[in-house]
Amino acid sequence: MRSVRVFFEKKGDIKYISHLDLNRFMLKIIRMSKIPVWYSEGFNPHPYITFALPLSLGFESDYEIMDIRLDDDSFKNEEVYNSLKPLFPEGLKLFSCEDPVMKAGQVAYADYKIEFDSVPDCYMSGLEQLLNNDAIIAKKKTKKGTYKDIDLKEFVKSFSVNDNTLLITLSAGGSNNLNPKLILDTFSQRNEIETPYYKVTRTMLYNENMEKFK
Amino acid sequence: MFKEFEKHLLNVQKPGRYVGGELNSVVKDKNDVDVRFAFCFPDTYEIGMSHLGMKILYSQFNARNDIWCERVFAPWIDAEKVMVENNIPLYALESHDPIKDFDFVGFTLQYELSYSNVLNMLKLAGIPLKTSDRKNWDTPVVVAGGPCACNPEPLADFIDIFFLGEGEEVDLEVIDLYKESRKNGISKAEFLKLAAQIEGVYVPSLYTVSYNEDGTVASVNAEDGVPSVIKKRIIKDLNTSFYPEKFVVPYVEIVHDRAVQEIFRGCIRGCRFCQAGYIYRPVREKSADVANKQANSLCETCGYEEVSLNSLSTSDYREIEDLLEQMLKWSEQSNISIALPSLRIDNFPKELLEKVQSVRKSSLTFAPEAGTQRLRDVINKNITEDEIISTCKMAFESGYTAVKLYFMLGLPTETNEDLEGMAKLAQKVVDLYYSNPARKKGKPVNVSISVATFVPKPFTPFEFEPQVTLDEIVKKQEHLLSSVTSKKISVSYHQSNISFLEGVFARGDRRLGAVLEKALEKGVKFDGWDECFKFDEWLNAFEECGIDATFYSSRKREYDEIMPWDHLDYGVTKKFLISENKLAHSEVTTKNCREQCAGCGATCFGEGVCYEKR
Repeated sequence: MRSVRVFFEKKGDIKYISHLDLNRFMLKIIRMSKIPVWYSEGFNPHPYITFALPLSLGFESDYEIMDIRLDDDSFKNEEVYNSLKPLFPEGLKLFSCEDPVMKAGQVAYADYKIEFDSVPDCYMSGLEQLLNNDAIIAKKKTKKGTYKDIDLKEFVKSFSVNDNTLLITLSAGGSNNLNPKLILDTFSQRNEIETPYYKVTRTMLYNENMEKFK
Repeated sequence: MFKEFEKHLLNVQKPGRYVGGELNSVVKDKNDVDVRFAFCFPDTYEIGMSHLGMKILYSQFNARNDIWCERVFAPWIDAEKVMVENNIPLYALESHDPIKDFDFVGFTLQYELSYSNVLNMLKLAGIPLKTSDRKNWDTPVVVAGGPCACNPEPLADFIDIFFLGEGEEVDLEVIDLYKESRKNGISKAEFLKLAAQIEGVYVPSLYTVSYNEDGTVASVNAEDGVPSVIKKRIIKDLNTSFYPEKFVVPYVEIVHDRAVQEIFRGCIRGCRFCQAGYIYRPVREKSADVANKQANSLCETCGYEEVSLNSLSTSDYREIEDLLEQMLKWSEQSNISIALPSLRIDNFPKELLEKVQSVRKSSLTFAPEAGTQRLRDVINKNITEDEIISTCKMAFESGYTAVKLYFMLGLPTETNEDLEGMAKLAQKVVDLYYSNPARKKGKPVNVSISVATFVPKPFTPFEFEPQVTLDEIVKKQEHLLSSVTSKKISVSYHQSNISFLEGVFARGDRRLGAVLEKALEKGVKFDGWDECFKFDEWLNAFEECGIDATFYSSRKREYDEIMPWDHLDYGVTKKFLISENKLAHSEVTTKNCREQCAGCGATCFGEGVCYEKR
């Protein structure tokens, strides 16, 4: 038994497919591909797959990662690639299948590119100002449905603003994750404005040393 | 246009339903095709995408290079609001093009409660509702088919062409006629008149209905040169007829996300309340070899982990054991489970049953439909209490703890005793469980009674029967509840108002078109959904149109009354329905098609069970 790490992008209309739906869809593709996946034991055997970091509904991504557990160790990465490649639909472009270098739980940061359709310059400069604060206290919904105060700034590793685009590196992963949407929502709330239409692309994942997640 | 909608997509529930792009969905270049067909399912994506008929026709149409068939579903309330506010017309999922520019807009009519959605979808598309407002080629040809087309009269004002019976052949014949008509430059009116010559095609605008003073139909007159009786179409040989090699595989979770393998059409049983049991006659089977091959191909191309056999009564498939043995050869090694809906397990080989995973998984369900043997004889439902008890005994011994019992309330001749019978039967099942000494201690049994309100339907022996009134339904429900004394038995039933409306439209006539239009103005839609159903608005619509809804629902019809659907021929004769109705009232059952031909009339199609060697 071994794992193979699958790298792909999620672009276009498929961004409206949620993480859970994509997960179910991948299981179907894997069945179709007939690659020798390992099936969980038990009453309802199913292949075992893990995503490095779930992607929010509506976000695009240049760098998606899914691990598949194989039953047959002699089955090569290249064969996995060749089996999956023709099955990946439009919007999910398969890049490569590799041996995992880092452990799936080691994702610590993610890059996001946030592009606004058309916003006044003052919007972008205001956003920049907000991010330059030493602390950005905001309310975050907890899993229990209550709200608690958190400092968004603690999650911001770095950022830059150019024209209509915000590039931002945020803490990511199981324990310390921030959705960039919360920053934009906080900005809108503070200024009592409606958030303009924007597109989010997650462009890269890193480990805690800011090394590209592989 | 879609770009505009996209800006709001993240504010609606499950946006994946509105974007298309699923695996195996068919995208063509619109410049390469002659005919664009918008296949509309008048309900949500999750429901429509589970429907087999749509999958068959979608694949079949798209197999032709000159046709591009796309899918359209009713947007949920939140998405509809966004579309209306931003002037986004109803579009097809594959191209995102507005359907008002298509050649054909086709609806499948699976249940009467979707009629308001049919109209609402036309409205959202920006297509004039009425046939009389779509006389030129600048609007699509609006067609409809499916089981409810057997009494299409309530929709007669809105639909140009109804397809009666099975669509695989007749739909394409009409599309070909359309292509030729456009090439020859004839008018839409001429095209419709030519289409009406094709067997299975009903063009309601070519027929005039007159009424008696008492409101019943006096006559239905066809225009000159148009057939006075329209006969439904059937597919003669299911082994050679088209079946999709792959389904569109949805991303979002739908009701039934699995491969579906049709094994036969029609039903030999003749349960007197069941419309499907009559309008799909005669029974025609697919061979086990063909079914196995098709099922295997579907699982391979779609990655499903479950395949379900589709028919009205799995147990009546003569090759069921052969088919399962063939399927198990590949399903077991690929971890694919086989679902066998409506299988009677009492005399099914035990070893085979154990191999079929899903049978072990699902809970045990029976549909006795009525609470006493007397009433079961009236409705010709051939299941006895002994069969239920002996099957439950088997099931309890192998560890089952839950049993579902499906009943109908308000059947013809039903008395309080029949209602009490439901409770008694459930109690017997409970008692049986506790009489098993080997039962798991501390694990209580759960018997649930699920009650649907009986709705008399056209082309059944009960088409003459009054539907029980709303007051009666409530009384009967209360009586049933008071008859249940054990906490181990739970009872659930449908909203009676919804059944009432279904009853009105099931046997309605053309005058209901005005009510539909009025109700649409009042905002009705998704009537089959409890959270959307606006009964008050419906009542207001009836009142404003001066139409008494109970005329359609709770009125007894005489045998010689002309029904609004009498000019449609589904093979089954009215004479037969009358004789069956009489037998019902004498509590006499009728044998199934394989035991003895009852002379229903379906032999006229020259195929199927009527000609099986016995």
